[in-house]
Amino acid sequence: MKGVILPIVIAALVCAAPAAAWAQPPTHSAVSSAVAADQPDYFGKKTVPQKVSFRQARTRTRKQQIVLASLFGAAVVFGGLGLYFHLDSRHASNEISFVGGTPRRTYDRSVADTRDRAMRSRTLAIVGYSISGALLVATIVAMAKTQPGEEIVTIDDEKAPATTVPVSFMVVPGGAIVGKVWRF
Amino acid sequence: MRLAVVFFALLTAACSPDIGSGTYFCGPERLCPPDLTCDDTSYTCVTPASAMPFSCPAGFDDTEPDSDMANARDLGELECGVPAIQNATSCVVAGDAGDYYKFVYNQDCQGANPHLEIRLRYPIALVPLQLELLDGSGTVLASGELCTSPIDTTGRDRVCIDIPPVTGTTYYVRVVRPADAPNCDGDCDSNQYLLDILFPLSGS
Repeated sequence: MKGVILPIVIAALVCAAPAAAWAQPPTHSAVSSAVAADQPDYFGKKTVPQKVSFRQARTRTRKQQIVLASLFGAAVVFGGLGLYFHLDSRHASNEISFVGGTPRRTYDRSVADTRDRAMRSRTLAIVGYSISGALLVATIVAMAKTQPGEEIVTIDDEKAPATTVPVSFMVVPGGAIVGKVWRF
Repeated sequence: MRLAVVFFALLTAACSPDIGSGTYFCGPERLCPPDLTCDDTSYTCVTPASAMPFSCPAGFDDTEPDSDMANARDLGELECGVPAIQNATSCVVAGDAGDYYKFVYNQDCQGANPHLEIRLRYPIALVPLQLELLDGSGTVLASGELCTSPIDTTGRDRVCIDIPPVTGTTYYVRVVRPADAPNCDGDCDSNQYLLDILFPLSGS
């Protein structure tokens, strides 16, 4: 157990060293005695940027998302209907299609009905595919039109909410560890 | 754009019935696919350019006039087990009162089931024909019933009469066009036919 705790304590001390240096700045007299006026002040407070800006992808509004999903869903539904009628039409067509050879069948009312079904399903398949295609195009256009793009987000340090600095405390055999987070 | 046209053509071609010329017999009242028409001589659906008008088989009027009992085509005396006529081709044209056939049965044929089998076959495409069996006084003994096989692939309907003959009877077979038969509003009011008058001694 000691083997685990020791490195943690050392790491905590190493990390805390700069903070300790910052927390207890040397007095002006001490600094002036140690550092010449024209030399850089390595131990002085660094200038920390007060604002951070970065790019962030925007998201579509809920309404836009619903419209896009509806368009795409309708395109899928009409495409499915088109496929259904396409397959029905093809099945009916294959049933009665003869290209050559001697007559093998009479073109009676049942054959005529099958042909009518094939042609009707063919028309419905074309209508279904056409509507589906139009809806897909509309979906793509709507996606392009509602492209949210990116925004530049700036985090202002002064306006940022005060950071709470947690303090952790853990009891270990023979003692305890206290941990604290500083920002610098 | 070109790809879209090809894709559309493939889609539509894949689900259109493809019926070639001469691959179907005409249905009732010359029923054919819209782009084909009925050839009345072969009663098949063909391209309009190759369709021929109705004509009776050659020599059909050799037996005319046979439009009443007095002028019926005489088939003679019926012999045991011998057909009176087989695959006789003839024709009923518009305005024709019908065709009559006459035969006499004077035998006493023995067998498991001696009976007359009268079969009339005619193209479905044109006006349906009626088959009747009459005795010497003109009384209708039997009328033909439609007996086309469900798997028939000849484009013809078949009408049947099965009846045991009575010794010493003169029979007349009449083939007529019923007055109320569908006839394409007068356009398909004629038809050709095949007639069999068989006399098997057994079987059903």
